[in-house]
Parts: sequence; C-alpha cells; structure tokens
Amino acid sequence: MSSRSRLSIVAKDVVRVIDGRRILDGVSLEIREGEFFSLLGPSGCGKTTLLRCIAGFDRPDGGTLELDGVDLARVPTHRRDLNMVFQSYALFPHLDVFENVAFGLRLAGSSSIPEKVREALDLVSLAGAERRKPATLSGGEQQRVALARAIVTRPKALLLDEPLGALDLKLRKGLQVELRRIQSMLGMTFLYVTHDQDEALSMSDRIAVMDGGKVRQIGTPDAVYRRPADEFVARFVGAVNIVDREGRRVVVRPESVRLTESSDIVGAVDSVSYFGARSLLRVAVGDATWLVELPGAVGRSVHAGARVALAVDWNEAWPLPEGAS
Amino acid sequence: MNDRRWWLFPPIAWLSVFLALPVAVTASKAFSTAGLEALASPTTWRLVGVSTLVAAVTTVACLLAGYPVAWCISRMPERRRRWVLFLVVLPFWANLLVRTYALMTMLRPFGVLDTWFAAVFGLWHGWLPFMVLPLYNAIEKLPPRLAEAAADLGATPAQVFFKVVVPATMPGIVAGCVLVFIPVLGAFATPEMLGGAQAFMAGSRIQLAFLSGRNPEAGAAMTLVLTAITLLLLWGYRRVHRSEGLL
Ligand SMILES: Nc1ncnc2c1ncn2[C@@H]1O[C@H](COP(=O)(O)OP(=O)(O)OP(=O)(O)O)[C@@H](O)[C@H]1O
Ligand SMILES: [Mg+2]
Repeated sequence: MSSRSRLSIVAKDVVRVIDGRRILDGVSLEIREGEFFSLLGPSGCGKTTLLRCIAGFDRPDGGTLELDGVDLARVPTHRRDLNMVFQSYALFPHLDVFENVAFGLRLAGSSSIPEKVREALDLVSLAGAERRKPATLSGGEQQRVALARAIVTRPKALLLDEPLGALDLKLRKGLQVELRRIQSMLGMTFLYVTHDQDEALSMSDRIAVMDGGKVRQIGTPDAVYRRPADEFVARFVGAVNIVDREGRRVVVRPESVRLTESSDIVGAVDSVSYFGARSLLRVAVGDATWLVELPGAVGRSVHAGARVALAVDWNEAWPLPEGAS
Repeated sequence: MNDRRWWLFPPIAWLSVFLALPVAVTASKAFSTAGLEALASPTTWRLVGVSTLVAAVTTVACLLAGYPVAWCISRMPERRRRWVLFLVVLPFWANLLVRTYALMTMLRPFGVLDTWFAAVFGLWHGWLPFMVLPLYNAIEKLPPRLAEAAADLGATPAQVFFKVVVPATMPGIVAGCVLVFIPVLGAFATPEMLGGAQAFMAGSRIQLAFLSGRNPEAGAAMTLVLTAITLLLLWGYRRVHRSEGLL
C-alpha cells in the first residue's frame, strides 16, 4: 500500500434524499492518493448514488465532497478531473474504438493523440481493435475500451461502478488481476464499487462496507474480514459463525474451526458442500448451526448424519464490540 | 422450388405493379417532344427550385421544432409519454383539407394568409409529426448513460449534444428529414390554399398539367425531375455516411 498520505477524494457527511428516503445517510470517506478503495455493500445500499454524486451526475442534499482538497460543490461534471467506468460501459455507438478512447483527449485539445490512444489500448490488451465499432465487441472487450477511454486522459481518480458485474466468472477473475495491475502501474486513485466481497477483499487497499446509506466500517481487507465492526459487516464479508462466549458475541470464521477427537462442542453433520479445494460443513450443535471449512479431501470423507466434535481456534475469534448491532 | 424464393414473389409483384410500372409509364411520357420541351423551359426549373427551397426550409423548421419536442417526450414518465405521442398523431385523424381550412381560419386574423410564410407554416404544421416520431424513436433508444459519459470526459452541455447526442440519433434525424422533405417537395394543395396564387410550386404545375389534360408529358417530365432530386439526396447522404460507417 502507498505510504503517501495525501488525500484524493474526501466525503464529509454526505446526505442524499430521494422521495423522502435517505439514500445516503451521512457518508464520510477519506480516500488516499493512489489508493485502490472499494465500496462494498448489498444491492440498493447507495453505492451508485454516492459515485454519481462524486462524478457530478447527482447532487448531495447535505455534506461536502472534495477532490485534492478542492470543494466540488460548484464544479460541473465536465470540469471534474475524475472519470467514470460505467457498469453498462456507455461507449459511443457512432464512434469506433479509437475515437471512443480519443474522445476525452480531443476535448482537452491534447497533443500526440494517436500515441496516447495506442498506449492506452496496449495497456488493456486491445491493440489492433482501433477501427471496430462497439457493437461488434464482446462484453469483456467493451469493458476494456471503457477502461482505456477513462484512463487515457490521466484523471486524478477513476470511479468504477461494478465494472465487471456483467461478465462471466472466469473473465471477471482475469480482469480483476488486470485492473489491479493497471492501477498500480499508473498509481491512480481507484474508487471501486462492488457487491462481491471476494472481489473487494482480493483487490483493495481498503474497503468501506456500506448498508442502508451508511458506512458500517472502513478498513483493510484483513481488518474488515477478521475484525468486523458489527454483525452486519461480519455476515456480509464472507461466511461466519456468531456465537456467545463468556457473555460476548464472538465472530468465528469457518476456517478457524476444525474437526477433533473430542471436545465440548459436539453435533451432527447436516450437510457437506464440496468445492474442490475446500469443503463447507453445516453442523447442528444443539439448536445452533456451525459452519466449518475443511480442506476439500477431508470434507469428502465426512458424511451427512455423522457425529463430529469441533475444535475452535479462539485466538482467531473476534468479539463484537459491545452495543453493536 | 426453394421456399425462400417463393416468399419473394409478393413483394416483387407489389413493387412491379405499384412502382416500376408507374415509373416506366411516366418516363415514357416524359421522354417525348412535349416532355423534353418542358425540361428545356426555364419556368420548369424555376418551379423545381422553388419547391426544393420550400421543402428544405420546411424540413429544417420541422427538425428544429421536432427535436426538442421528441426530446421532452422521451424524458416523460411512461404513461404520459403514450398520451402525448397519441396527441402528436391525432391531427392525422382529420382530413388534410379540413385541417388546412382550419389553419386558414386561424391565420386570417393575423393578415398572413396568401403569403409564402402561410404556405410554409401549413406544410410545417402538417408534416411535423413525421419528424417527431422517428426522432422520438431514436432518442428513446439512446442509452441514458451516454450523455453522462460524455460530460464525464470533459464535454460541455453543448458538446455533449453536438458530439454525442446528435450523431447517435442521426438515423432518426435522416428518417425524419426524408419523411418530411419528399412529400413537401411535391406538395400543392396546402401551399395553394394557404399561400394563394403566389405560392405556386412544382406540385401545382404537375397537377395542372395532368388534370387539365392538356400537357401530361410536361407533368411527367417534372415528376421525374423531382424524383431524381430525391434519389440524388439519398444517394449523397449514403455516400457521405457510409465512409463514416454509419449505414
Ligand atoms: N432517481 C432515483 N429515484 C428514486 N429512487 C432512487 C433513485 N436513484 C436511486 N434510488 C434508490 O436509492 C437506493 C440506492 O440506489 P443505488 O443505485 O445507489 O444502489 P446500489 O448500492 O448502487 O445498488 P446496486 O448494487 O443494486 O447497484 C435504491 O433503493 C434505489 O431504488
Ligand atoms: Mg449500483
């Protein structure tokens, strides 16, 4: 992670009310320069709305937004040095790939446009597609053009709204790695929206977990996963057991639980889900259900109905703060 | 016999009877002594020039008025949109002559009846829906994020409109212009009724030539000229825009 501490995008208490509903309910974020920052949250929690406010397509009803220390309230969209990558790509259908990428450069009256376009297309591995129309490209290729179009003008920050949401799993995995590579190569600030926790965990420097228009927690992927601020975050970021221990609610991830010879947690295997590299067991203990993650081969040898004893690595367990929901 | 070829028969028959045959008859009449005489006459070309000018002005006026109308309709909520589109088409349920008489009554108090303005105004009023509908169709299909993407990349509102919205709706613009230009080029009833004696266009001349029965050859020749102008414009458009890969 970047050691620089200059701030890029800053949101303070941003509120957006639509039809009497608080879509954004006091959102505050400080995104550092060069950081890969993810907004993670369930559908409808306000991620797109926040991004649209930052880009200038929408206006907050309260709070302030800053870019590089400049208040954005009076800066119209076209003057904000930010570019957006849309989930729907939004490529210009009447322009070919080259002209789509060159669009921002031409408006800025930039020099050596062909070189810059070629460099951007090289970066997203699309060299040679210059003269094709967007309609003739696959979804993955369109997404690459959208990315090239957004980075070619070297904006201060890039806003990405579920850019991989419409792609199949394999393509997504590939593009995730590529996006991260491009981001660190350019050293550009990325604000990345997703509702996929694996994506957020694997790509980000830091993550903000949102729900119902509020930020629940901001932290590194490790912090958000292992030290969740509340039950919502714990449940949203991966599978989880939440158990009572010594009067506290404690978060135990399934991989901190293993099978053992004998212990005081004994139950019957409810079901076994085999994923190849790993297996997920549901074990009924009293009226609670424990999730247990095992190496794939180990899980395959366990059958539903079997009685098992569970050992918990309590060092990896995380007590939820008192009073958190 | 091949199924596909069989299905081609009805459209080919239709085109032969209703297009090829009339064109052939018209052409055979036009290329006669009287027809060629008419083609050589300066009056013919003056009337063709007047008609082309009137058609061009009407088309531009329809485009300038139709684009904002189509734009506003496309931004309306679904239910209201259907109503407004219905209202746009509604005048067509009344006969053209009735509508023109209504316009005469409307324009008379302003003292503009029997002027070119009244003639063009009537044509503009009559053909505006033919511009609005294809424009609406094109604008409505525009992805909503397109304009935002352009603004995001640094385009001012005017640049968004002229560099993205207009080019992306070009097929609708062309369709609307063609639908207005062609009928106005041959119009005679509306301009005669509203523009009076001075609004005498090629269409009036053609109608006179045929209906008075005195000189159908001259009428045929002028008809061919108007058809040629239309084809030339379409061909020119295709040439320009195919090189940009639009059609
Ligand atoms: N223009 C609008 N009018 C009415 N409601 C809106 C509008 N825009 C957003 N909303 C509502 O605001 C809430 C948040 O929407 P938003 O698009 O920001 O969610 P999101 O977090 O991006 O969800 P997703 O992951 O599904 O994209 C939703 O409940 C949505 O219905
Ligand atoms: Mg969204």
